Amino acid sequence: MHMSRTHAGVQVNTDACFNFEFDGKTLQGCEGDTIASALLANGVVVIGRGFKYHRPRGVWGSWTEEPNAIVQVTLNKRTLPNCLATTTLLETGMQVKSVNAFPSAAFDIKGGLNLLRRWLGAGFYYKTFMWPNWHLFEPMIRKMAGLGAVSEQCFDDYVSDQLHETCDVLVVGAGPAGLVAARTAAEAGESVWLVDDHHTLGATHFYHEFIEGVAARSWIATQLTAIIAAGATVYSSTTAFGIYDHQLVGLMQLQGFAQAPRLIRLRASRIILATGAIDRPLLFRNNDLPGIFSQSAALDYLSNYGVSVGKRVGLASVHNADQVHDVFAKHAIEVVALNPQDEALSAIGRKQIQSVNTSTARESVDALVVCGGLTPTIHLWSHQQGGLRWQKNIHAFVPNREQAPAGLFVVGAAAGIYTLEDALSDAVHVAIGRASTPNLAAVSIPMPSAKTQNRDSQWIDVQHDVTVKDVDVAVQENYASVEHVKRYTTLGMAVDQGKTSNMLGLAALADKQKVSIPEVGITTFRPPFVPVPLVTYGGQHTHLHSKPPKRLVLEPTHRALNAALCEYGGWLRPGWYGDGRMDEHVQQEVLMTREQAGILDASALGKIEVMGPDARNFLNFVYYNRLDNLQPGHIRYGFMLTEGGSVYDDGVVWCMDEHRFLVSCSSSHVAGVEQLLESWRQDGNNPNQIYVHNATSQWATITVTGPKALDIVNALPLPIELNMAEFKHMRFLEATYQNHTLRIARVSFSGEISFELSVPTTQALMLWNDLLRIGKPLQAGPLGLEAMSVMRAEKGYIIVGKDTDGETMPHDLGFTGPRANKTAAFVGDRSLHTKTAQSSSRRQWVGFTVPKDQPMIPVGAHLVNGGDKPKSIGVVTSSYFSPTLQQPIALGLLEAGALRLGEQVSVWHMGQQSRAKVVSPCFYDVSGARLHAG
Amino acid sequence: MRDDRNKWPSPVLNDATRGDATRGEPTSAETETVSGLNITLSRIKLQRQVWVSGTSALQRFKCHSWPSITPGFKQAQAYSVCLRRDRVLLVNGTLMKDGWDAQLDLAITEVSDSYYVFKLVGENSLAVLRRGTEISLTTPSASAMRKLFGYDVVLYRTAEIEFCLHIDRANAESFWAHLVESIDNLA
Repeated sequence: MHMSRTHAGVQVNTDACFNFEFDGKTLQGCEGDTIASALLANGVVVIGRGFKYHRPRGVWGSWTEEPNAIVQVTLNKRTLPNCLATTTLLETGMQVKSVNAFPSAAFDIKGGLNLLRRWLGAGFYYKTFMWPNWHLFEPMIRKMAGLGAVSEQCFDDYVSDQLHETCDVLVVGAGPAGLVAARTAAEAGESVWLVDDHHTLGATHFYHEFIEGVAARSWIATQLTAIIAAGATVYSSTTAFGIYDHQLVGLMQLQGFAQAPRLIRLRASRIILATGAIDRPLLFRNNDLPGIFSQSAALDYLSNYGVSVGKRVGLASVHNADQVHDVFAKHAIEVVALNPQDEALSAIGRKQIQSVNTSTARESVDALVVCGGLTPTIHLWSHQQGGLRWQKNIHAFVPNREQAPAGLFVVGAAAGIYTLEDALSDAVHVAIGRASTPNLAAVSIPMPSAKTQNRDSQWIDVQHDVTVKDVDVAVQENYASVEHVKRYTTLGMAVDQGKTSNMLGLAALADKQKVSIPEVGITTFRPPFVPVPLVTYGGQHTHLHSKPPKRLVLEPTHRALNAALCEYGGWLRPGWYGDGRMDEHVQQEVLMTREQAGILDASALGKIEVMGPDARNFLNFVYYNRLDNLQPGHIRYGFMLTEGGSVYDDGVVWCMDEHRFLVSCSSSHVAGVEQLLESWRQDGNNPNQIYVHNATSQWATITVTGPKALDIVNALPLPIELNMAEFKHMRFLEATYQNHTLRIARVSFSGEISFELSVPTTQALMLWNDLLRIGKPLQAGPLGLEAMSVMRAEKGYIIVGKDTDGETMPHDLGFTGPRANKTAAFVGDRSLHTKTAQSSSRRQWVGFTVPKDQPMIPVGAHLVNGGDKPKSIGVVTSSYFSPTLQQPIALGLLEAGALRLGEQVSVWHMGQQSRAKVVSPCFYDVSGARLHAG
Repeated sequence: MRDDRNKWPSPVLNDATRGDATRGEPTSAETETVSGLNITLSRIKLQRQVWVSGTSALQRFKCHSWPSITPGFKQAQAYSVCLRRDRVLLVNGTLMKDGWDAQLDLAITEVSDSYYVFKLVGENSLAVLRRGTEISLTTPSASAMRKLFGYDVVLYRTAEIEFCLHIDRANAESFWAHLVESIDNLA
């Protein structure tokens, strides 16, 4: 093979050359080169290996359609896997490595797999690795599969910038039609964006020496100058990778190697696609050999990079062959004309093409340039479900303008218009919004079909090693739909997205099924058009900006008290106070609360106001428990269910007055409960009679809990003195504290007398400091969430989401009354009466104990039945060492648990088995004497 | 649980750090100025904020939406902002009793302590906002509620190149950091 740089090329600066490496060899490239052009200029033929059979593969294309040249690149100690060599600009010192090959692409020890390929066709994996167990083979297959290796490096600065922009007209593609459309629209006074994914605008045009009588390069420069002068925004290196609802276009703007691309979300009133067309490969024996190029790629390398793909080049083209012949001749490239339509070609060579066999001759060549027609780049059009129709004379699906999505237009080769004059004229009309009916019949391009012989050597998808035979097998296996064949064979999937393989696959399928290609149909194109790094979508939402927790108003105070701050349900809250061992602090805080009092920042608790004439009935409908008889000043505990009957949230509801209620839901469920209330308010209820205000952040709540809670609260400067005989459990009142409203609720999550004190958030510090000051001489102090969780478990109070799962219903937790007695409709009611809901083997909530000298039961441990093959009959949801009881306790869900009280069950965890006794979930103050004291 | 006290930096915005929690001027940490970009982001204090919901709320209170300029902001006068078709945010208005007003058919809740309020001023401030949301002075919106950088905010104009942002207090710290970083990125 005699690939070499014969001249500078339009894009390459041969005065600025530098070294780079490929598979350990030092090579030289120049400024403006892509990795692929530099490799070709250095005569590198084999750049990668086939995904499945490890056949040697070379460069086929020159841009995003390239299926083979995927490489791993390291620069400045940063390594990126799976870079497309044809689109990645070469930089000084780049270390380029082939992927899916060891030790190198030129010599790959797995290349022997190619000898076995007759047995490894489509469906081989699905059929072979099912017995005895897929997981037996999975590690090995996973190790063999894949291309580049993900680096263990973490680039902290790999963060995408994101922009939101709008414009009147977006033109995608800066070929001749795109340039004309952009200029016309911009000069008509519209705000225009012109984007192209190439590094240099207008670089894709190399077929015509003159455009409109002017040298092509000058014509392009003139158009660009006029477009910018008319005020348009013009971006190169910017790929429109997807079109979404309401004309939203995703633009990925490259920022350089190992720099996160910028994401521009552009909303355009009109989108004009001038995305061109992609050369189709030809089907013939060994059409995947290195040294076989697409026609446009060969011209691109010659024109833009000064690289000739060979000295004696075979030309098998059904479109523009004469023009290509002339261009090659001008560069002293000897051309061997081949007839792909009528001849059964066969490429000969091992690691690169050496000759081409026809039916009559064997032609020695050092490269083969092919074109089996053009496939309009209709991906973006299809993202919006734009209609397609089969254009018989060019054998291609083209956009059907009569089925155009709103605001979407297509011009040039992407529309199937292959003559320059027609394309330019049509682009002008489209740009100014005039109807245009271009003549698509001006050009005829035949479509050579697959040959009957050697069908396992005619490659349809060179990226996934899919042959014509694989399609044959899929049809034999009765896969009739093109979508099914695609998935069975993997043709057109992953990076390729059908760019080169789609039409060949359709043609092979049509041929096998003895139908026409339009009868076969086409697969669905979905975004993104090219691979987009996931960080591009995330933008700044990374590191500390990724799901940041909500912050308490008292956080600085908790920090000053040496609190350990942990994430609980999306909030950063004090877990415990002090350094060192967590369990020691937690136990101390539990004992302090049980004996004296604890002071807890409970500000994260939900405070959602529900108001209006229908508020009472509405809440009665939304809650499992009865709320229609809740009196002002009273509080009631209740469950909120999903429509499936499972417990979604628990909390308390306050009746402020006849038309005003306060839903105090779990901290982690505030947003969800608000959404649920809003949703039901507008569905089946009169939304004008019910209003939902989430005032969670307006109020800070501090809980004082323990035997001395009353003393502490009564020592506050309040105009009232609480009397337990009158102020019973589950009541609330409003008072004034330092000229601000103070809400006092007697509710408890610890099992002790508790008061939740709520003030406007800006007054929280004053109240907190007062409570700590008053509590200190009484040996009361700050209480963290961990100790509160222990006390909840001791008392047998559930934490929804921890002690329940998506199947837990209220009667599984021992709350059966409403299901049996509530007459009014409520959310989830119907689901509570199904056969499944009433099954006697449902998992029910129970407690577990182990002897005092045994370790705690691990959370997540399974409760299993006996026998050699233990089966899970439940799971441990909470487990603590109870400092109050001085023994481990646990809670969990167990099949028919309520009937097993007193039984011993087996606990299985990480291969270890132990025993536990099933008990009632309430371990502490079973009679409620402490809770109701007073 | 994991102790994340060192993962998350101490808040720079917090009423509770100032003892009696009076609504005074923002601290130096609560003002971010990038003179090169001619952008100033600062925390401001408003006298009162109240949600009012009801079918007549929008008619009763002449409320502003995007991109109209809210009058009275500089003079700390009362004004209202449309949140949705049945809800307005009253700013600096008179004291109203929380709850259901049966005579006016309105639900009323004071939210003065719910929101932190930021002011973004400068000729490049719209460019900062465009990094976080799809926004244009030529595209009107009946509601001032937006998703900005993924956060729910109330956003409206108070002058030609001056914007007011209300954010739930619990999210204000991270939102502030996000805004500051976006301004830095713009620079």
